Amino acid sequence: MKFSLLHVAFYLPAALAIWPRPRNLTTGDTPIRLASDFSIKFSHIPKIPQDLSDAVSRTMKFLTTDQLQILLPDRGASLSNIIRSARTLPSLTISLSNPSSQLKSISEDAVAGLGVTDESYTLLVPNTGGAILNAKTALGLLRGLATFEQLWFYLDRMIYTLQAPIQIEDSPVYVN
Amino acid sequence: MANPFRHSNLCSSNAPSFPVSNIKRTLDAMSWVKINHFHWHVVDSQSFALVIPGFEELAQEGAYSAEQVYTPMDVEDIVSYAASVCLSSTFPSNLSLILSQRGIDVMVEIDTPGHSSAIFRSHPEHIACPEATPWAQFAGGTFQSSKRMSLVLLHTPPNIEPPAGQLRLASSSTTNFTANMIQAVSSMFPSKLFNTGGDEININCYVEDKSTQEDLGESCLV
Repeated sequence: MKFSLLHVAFYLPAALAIWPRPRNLTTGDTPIRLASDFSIKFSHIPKIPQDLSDAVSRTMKFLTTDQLQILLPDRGASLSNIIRSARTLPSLTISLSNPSSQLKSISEDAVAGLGVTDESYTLLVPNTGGAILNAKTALGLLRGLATFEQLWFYLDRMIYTLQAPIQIEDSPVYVN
Repeated sequence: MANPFRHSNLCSSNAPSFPVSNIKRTLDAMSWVKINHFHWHVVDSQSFALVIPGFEELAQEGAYSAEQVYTPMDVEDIVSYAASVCLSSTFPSNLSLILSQRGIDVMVEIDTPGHSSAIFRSHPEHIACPEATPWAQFAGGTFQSSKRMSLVLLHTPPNIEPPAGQLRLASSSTTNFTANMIQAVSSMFPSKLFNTGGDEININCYVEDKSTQEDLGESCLV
């Protein structure tokens, strides 16, 4: 086990591929992988805009079809056992900072004008338990989904990261 | 989003008409990296590729070919892809329903008064120095934007492009036509933003254009 952790640590510098880099990003060194029945759920959002649920469907599809392999000479093959025995992430739960407010669609947010819509989000992918995405708007949730999609690599039908827990706070750096 | 700019913008100058599928592929890539505006330079000097309701002749005569155009349905498709919810087929009603699913606001640019030569094909009355030659003396570019720039550019090739031709900015008939056309285009897009260009005018084109000089004379501007 000790050898395994050292092994993982050796590969860490190659392990994140989020573009552009989130404003605040902290990572750990625990490998986890998506559960085979991984799902994305909404928490206390009374009326989910159609384009937000479409975005979630796209994210689910992207996670399973992207198949990006880690940028190492063996594409992660030597990590196979570590990944296989890693804890699994059962779900990503999507929630709103202000659940009582009427959630506008992504589309309405996108065309609202310069600097009108808050695109910030926070994303937590823990070592154990489910992941949490939180934002104030549907557009913020879309940005968080885009980041979530980019946390993962693929090996032998496993979708994994080596760097849990991952904690991200993100928003545009410059304001109009 | 780490995206350093709240208004991060990809500008596509595609009057030559990229297929809609290429634009959609680009919109996908934009959303992955959290770019939130698509600046669509949809017409240019060489080709007028946008089919505008009420102004169909512009693309009919001014596009490279009948196939190399963006119809209102294409625009609807692109905006709602950047976007999403299906629109009613009764274009252009209910445009406020066009939704930007990928979080991308599509800002269209109709470049004026320069970069408008292709309008000459259907409306010769609105264009000064259409396709005038030698084009290096009449076409638009950045070569004469300032004295200092000219000095710099003495040593570099001028950044100008044929064909020549600019909207007759002193003609009231042309300004009315342009305003109406821009209004028609703006109703095709749900964005609050619109770009009317404004760069790379060739002064000599207007100096040599008799009609423009007469209009300027009437308005006592010369």
